[in-house]
Amino acid sequence: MAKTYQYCVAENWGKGFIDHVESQRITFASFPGNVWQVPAYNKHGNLWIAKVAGALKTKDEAQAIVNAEVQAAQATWDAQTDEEKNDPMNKRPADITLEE
Amino acid sequence: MATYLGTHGSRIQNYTTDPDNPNTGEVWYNDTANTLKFQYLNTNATGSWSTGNSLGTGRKALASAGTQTSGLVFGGTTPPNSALTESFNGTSWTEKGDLNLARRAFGGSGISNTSALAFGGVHTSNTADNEAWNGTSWTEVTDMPVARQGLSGSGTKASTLAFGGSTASTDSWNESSWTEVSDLNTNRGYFSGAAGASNTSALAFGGTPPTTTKTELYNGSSWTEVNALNTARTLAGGFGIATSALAFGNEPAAAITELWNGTSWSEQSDLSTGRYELTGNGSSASAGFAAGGNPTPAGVELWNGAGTVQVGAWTTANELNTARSNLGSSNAGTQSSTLAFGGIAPGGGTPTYEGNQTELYNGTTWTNKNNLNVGRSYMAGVGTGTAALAIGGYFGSPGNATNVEQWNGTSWTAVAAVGVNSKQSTAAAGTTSAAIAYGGFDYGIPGPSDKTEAWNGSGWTAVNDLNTARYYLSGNGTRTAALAAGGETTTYTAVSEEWNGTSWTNITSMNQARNAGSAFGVYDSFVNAGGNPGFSTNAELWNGSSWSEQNNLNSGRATSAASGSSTAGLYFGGQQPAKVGLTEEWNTPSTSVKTISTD
Repeated sequence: MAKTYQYCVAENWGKGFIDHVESQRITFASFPGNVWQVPAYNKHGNLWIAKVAGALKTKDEAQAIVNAEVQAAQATWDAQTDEEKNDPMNKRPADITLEE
Repeated sequence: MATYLGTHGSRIQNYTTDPDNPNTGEVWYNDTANTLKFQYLNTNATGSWSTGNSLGTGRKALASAGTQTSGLVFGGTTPPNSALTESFNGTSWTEKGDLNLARRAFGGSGISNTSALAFGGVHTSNTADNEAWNGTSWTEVTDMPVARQGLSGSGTKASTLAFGGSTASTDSWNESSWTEVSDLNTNRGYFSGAAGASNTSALAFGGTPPTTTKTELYNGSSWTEVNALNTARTLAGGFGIATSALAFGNEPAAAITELWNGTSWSEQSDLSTGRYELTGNGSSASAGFAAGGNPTPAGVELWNGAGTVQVGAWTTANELNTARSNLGSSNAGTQSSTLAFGGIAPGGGTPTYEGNQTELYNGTTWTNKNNLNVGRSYMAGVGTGTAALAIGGYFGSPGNATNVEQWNGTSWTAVAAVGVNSKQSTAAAGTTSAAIAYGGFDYGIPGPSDKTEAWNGSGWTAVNDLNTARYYLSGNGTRTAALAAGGETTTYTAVSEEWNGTSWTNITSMNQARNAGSAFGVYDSFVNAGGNPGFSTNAELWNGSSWSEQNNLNSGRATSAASGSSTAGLYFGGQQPAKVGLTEEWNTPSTSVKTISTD
């Protein structure tokens, strides 16, 4: 099946990591573990990954990285006291599912 | 009829020098230069494609109707042949009622996502079937004279021209029946595209076999060959009218785009993704969409032609020194002077709910400053980089907190505590001399609060309540003109309210219900972004009368902080779910002053 997105791991260095024109031209999404999602088969997406020296990941590889980060956050939440867990303002981190 | 006085609240003013911060659309007379001037938004010098949200179901050999803000795609093959219909509102796709007959390689026409026609194509074999769309469902209408595939079509639901394909004929539709009219000079199918406003005006370009550059113009009675495409193409997309059209894509997957100006074709910026068997629509070459095809059956791109107003976008900036969520900000700050304070920091694996770190952003980097005296999270903040308030929040244990501190540019000092209505995840607006705090989670209930309190520089007073009690809401503005948007009641809400200095009035709800978003701007020009559900990237702009979707944040998150104006904003921190120091700057296109010739 043709894919809609491609994934890479890249460290956000701040200014210039994603510039105004890139942000206008393609839709970015970031996930825990420095995982970035950009459109597949897309010239501007490919150029951006090259610019930031992103390490390409399959969707499954990216999902594994995200899962590890989310599970760490969930474990931190689980280690809290019952009083903290029962605080309605303090919700357990939810799982994140990446799209193909 | 709208008048300048009615729109801008004043007549055209005389100035000796240009005003410092004129509003977009404002006109004034420069008494020194003896010229009439006005402020306008910069426009794009050239056209370009940007990616849009993907189709719900990827497919190829589909058809479409409408415009970039009111589009429709239908049919195609996934494979197998599809009857699916999806409606586009400029931002997202929504599945609608299916075609009665699944089909591919067929013709489509129509001016919006509520008015379209689907005709011909391949079901199990070539079909003459014709269906009309009313915004909700497809209805069988009079079949075409001859079953065919690979045809093209243009026009409206009530006035369509269908041409080419597996026959040479051209058929004209008048909302009730088809009439055969003059044939194309060169029969072909699988066109590069078609453009036209009605059954008396159309443009046919490209196609196969063999793959051609031929372009023909229909004037209501016959086809005339006109200037050819620069690149021969087939199975591509096209939209527009006979005097302004766009051709894009080609087989094998190519991105090449050309613009027809009524006389000739010229090369334009390429599609981001080369593809074929796609579709697209738009009322002219100024704006439209491309959708589906090979190899990205769900891919969508949006075309904005030269002369269209530039749109705002987010850029990454340097991160906070301390990653954190549920922090406060001087929410009336600027992109070159904004304060971030408190929040929940990771704390080496155990969250620290009583963050006291204060950082100042100078337009480039965040610098650590003197800490809050009482570390806290879930607080509200108002003011600027040199004069701010940190209001309430969480410290010690879950429950209401009343402590307020004031920042003088160097350090924090405790000031009068917020009143008994204080709570967590409140919104606030204003300055250190005049502010309001509203909504929040009140542990005395326990539950969402509707309470509003006003600060006069020395103390707090209860004023009129919000209409909808909520917490994790977004807010910004001033003591006398503020906005409350979204939040959580028992569920995420999109409800929005405007404060006029005395009371709250419900206004149009946001497009998307959310909590824990963060906002910048003022009561009539306000951007609310991020939040939940799902650590959202979504951003919406309130212009004083309606909400519109904007370009998404690059990094979705919730419980962040924000400051600035709706044309130059700052968004930082939050969780996704890990605490982050991510910072993004929002910039809308700059404006320019134009001198109006009075000669």
